[in-house]
Amino acid sequence: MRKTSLIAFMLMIPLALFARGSAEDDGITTITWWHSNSGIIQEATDALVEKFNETTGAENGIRVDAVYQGSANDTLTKVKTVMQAGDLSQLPDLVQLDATGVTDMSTYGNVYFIDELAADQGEDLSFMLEHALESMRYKGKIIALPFNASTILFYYNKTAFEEAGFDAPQTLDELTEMAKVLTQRDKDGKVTRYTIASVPTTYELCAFIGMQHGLSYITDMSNGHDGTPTKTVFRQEGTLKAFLEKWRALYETGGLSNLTSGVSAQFAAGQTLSMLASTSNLTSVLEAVDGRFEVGVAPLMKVNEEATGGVNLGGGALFTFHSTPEKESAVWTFMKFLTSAESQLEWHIATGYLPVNRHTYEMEEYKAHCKENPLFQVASDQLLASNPDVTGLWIPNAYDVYYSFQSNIRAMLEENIDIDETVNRMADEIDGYLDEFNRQNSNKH
Amino acid sequence: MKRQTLRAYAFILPVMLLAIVFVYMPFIQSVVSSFFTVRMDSSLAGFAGMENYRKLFENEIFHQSLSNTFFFMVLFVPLNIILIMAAVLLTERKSRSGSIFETVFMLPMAVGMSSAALIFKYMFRPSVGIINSILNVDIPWTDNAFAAMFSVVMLGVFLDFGLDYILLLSAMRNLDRSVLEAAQIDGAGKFRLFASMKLPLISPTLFFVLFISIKDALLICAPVMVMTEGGPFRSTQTIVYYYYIEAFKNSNYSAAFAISTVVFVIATVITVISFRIDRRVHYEN
Amino acid sequence: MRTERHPAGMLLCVIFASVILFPFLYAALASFFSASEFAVIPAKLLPENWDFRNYLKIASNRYFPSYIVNSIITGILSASIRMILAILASYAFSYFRFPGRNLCFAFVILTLFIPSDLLLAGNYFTIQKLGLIDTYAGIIATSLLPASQIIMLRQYFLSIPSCIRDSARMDGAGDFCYIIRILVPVSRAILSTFLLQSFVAMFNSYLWPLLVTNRPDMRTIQIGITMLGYAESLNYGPVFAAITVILIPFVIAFILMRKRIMSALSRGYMFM
Repeated sequence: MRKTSLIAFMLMIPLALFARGSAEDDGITTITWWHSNSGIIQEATDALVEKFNETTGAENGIRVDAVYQGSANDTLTKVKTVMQAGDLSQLPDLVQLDATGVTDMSTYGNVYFIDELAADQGEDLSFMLEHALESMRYKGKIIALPFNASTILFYYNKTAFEEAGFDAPQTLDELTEMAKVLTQRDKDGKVTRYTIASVPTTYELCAFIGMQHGLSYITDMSNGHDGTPTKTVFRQEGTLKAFLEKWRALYETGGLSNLTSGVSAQFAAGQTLSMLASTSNLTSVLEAVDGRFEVGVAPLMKVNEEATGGVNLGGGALFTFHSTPEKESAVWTFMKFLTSAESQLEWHIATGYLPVNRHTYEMEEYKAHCKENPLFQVASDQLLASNPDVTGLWIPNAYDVYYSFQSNIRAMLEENIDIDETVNRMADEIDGYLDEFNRQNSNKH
Repeated sequence: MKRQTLRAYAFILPVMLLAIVFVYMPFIQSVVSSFFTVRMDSSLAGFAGMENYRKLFENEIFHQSLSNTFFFMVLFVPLNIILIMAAVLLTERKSRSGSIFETVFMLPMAVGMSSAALIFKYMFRPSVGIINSILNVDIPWTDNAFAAMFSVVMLGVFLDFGLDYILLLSAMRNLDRSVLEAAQIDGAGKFRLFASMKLPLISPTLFFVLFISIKDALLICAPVMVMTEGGPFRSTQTIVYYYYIEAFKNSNYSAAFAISTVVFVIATVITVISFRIDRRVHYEN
Repeated sequence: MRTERHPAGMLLCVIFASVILFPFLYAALASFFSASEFAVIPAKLLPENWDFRNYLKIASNRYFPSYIVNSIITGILSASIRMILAILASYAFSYFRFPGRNLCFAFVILTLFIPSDLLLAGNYFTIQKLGLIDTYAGIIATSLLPASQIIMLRQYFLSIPSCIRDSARMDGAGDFCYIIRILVPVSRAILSTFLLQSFVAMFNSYLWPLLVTNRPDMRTIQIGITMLGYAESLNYGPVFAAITVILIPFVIAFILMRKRIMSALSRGYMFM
């Protein structure tokens, strides 16, 4: 008996090994969409896809398969691995990536630019919000369709700020003044409540540098949107120095904590009174605070009075590839559905991502939703008031650049290093990465 | 004789094939590529000779990653061996309560790496983490280089504990009782009995556990990826995680391939040295 | 030889055990936390409400059941194939003399030092060329080489007195007969330890299964766990609930198997 079951089991091994789910082929065009949306974002994604498959999709013989591919990082790893293996048939029709994916994707010849796709389908992208389009413009063309859009936002403990008689700060100078009051120490002088916790790096600096003089960049080539950057420009333009001077003043109040991770949890626990985070964190921050204090949000404070550029639009976008005419047309149909004013409203309400369709902002339902959730309105007001040309940074070696900013800013504060010296170090390090990258990739195209 | 040789080859054929197809083939390819300049899309841009290696050895981040790895090893290997030996010695003799402890000490084997790393990550959060709250301290686990490294070391020990415990405990329990009892009659104290009799006798198992610990330390990557992502300020960025960053985040394959060759060379040197030492230990006994 | 242990030893045992058990306990307790209970100072150990909302969340997840089934299937396949290959190779390495034996052994051992992270892209290419994307074979392929188990098993086989093998040979037992009748029964303890170890590793692997599967119905459980909470979320409750759910069967398996493993090991031959 035991032997028979053992043999039966051994026989099943080869069968199971090569088992594959059945693939159906019934004349329907199937669109595969790789994404990294998890938790409540995934639920919203699935809801949109389901709705499409039942309505527009069913009418046009299109079916969308949304497949979760791990974190945004894992999704990019997967796309890169497929690209390197060279079998493009394994690529999905749509892949959702964040800014770190653009540099890689721009090297692959078969990426289908969205404005070209729209033109080939006899349409255009005029329904899209200008900020959204600019955020994905690469060498003059739209490399991917903006979809889950967010910006940086100032979160603060409104209860504590109001107790001290403060409103949200408009500038870094104001925050520094408030920190002198808000920061609490125990009798040994140890800080028990910080005013803000952050070590600014690429994400924060895109906005803090981008807003200066109405529009500034971290590197040449418009932050990589006109091609691979060749050098940094923040040293010559003095933008980083202007920011660091304010940041050091803030640190000197003792109210700034150089915390690099777990900031949201500290904020929710009330140990730090404010933080800089994405608008897309709003739902989870509210959930974690759970009414222990009132959460306030405000536009990112200005570096100085001339820093009027506002913030850049970040988040994720959908890339697509050249394929068959049926697929391309189906992809466009689905893209139009995803970015329609109605879908964007639904997506915004479910996830807090900012609508990328400019008509959504005019909808009555949208205005009503904002009225009920004024915190969400702050984010969209901030975006609409920003210069659309303020953009995120597309740079190779993004990870090294991230650490260069973070390590040098922390060292400047904790080891009391001169600001000019700090700026020089960062510029030299990042220029070095860019030189090396451009040397390795020079004889391309 | 010939038939026996043939049969031997047939028995090892599957593992040899797997080693060639899934390890050596891709690895040799990466070693060859390491002598070329590799573009972002992983195409070869031209022969570079030792250029990638020269650049790597000049790179401060590479030095830091290497020294982080050895720092991890210096903390992890002794701590791992000492804690496991302590657990083995405590439960060496069978007793009524022993079986409960045996089960508990084996239990870490039941947890997968990613689950354990997630649990540790949340336990070791600063301020809001349970470790700080139970010990009533305020250790900045994610913002202090040493504290962050220590938390990864704790995870490493936890992950290796179960299997190493089983191996060493069974080695200890299978020692020849008559020899030990004879030594005891000769009046050897507990400590001398352990140091001069038991330790040498279990040394083959101990050597194996040590060897695997060193290997795990040299190649540690996934726990770092989940727990600290190399932070703060690259202080827990180990050499294999550095490879991961260059290959998968920076698409800097010229550097990545060179790193993988260096890791393998270090590993081979460690293997050769440890087997030399092992042989000497065996001869001495 | 059952004796009472020294009180100091007992105390140390209790401390060790508590430290080891704590992560399990914490995961189980945290699986009942609400989002806000993860962000309080000092951190909480006990949840306010013992409700099962986090468990309901994973129970209602439509992807989970097939993910668990896939993890179990790949775990069983990988663990059993690894064991068979390890026995065959260790048998050859310990009982046969053949040209190139040490070289082949070193060849297998050195694979331990090439981390799989370095080989991801190359192996993906192989799997895709073999047409194994979205198959169980593709998922387990890179896990099948049991190098460290071969080291241990070879040592173990070598420690079995040669008289046993000689007498088996006298009885006319062939290689397979000897392996199945003698070798496997006397190594039962170590083999079942290896089976469990391989199963746990495969069941919990993440990046490789993610790379070689495109279809949701071929996905494994760790991918499901990352799907529960998103990077910016502060609500870890559902993640801990999922971790607890997959931990429970493993913990039970270990408790049930401990006695067999330990008694077989201490009755067995000198291990290594």
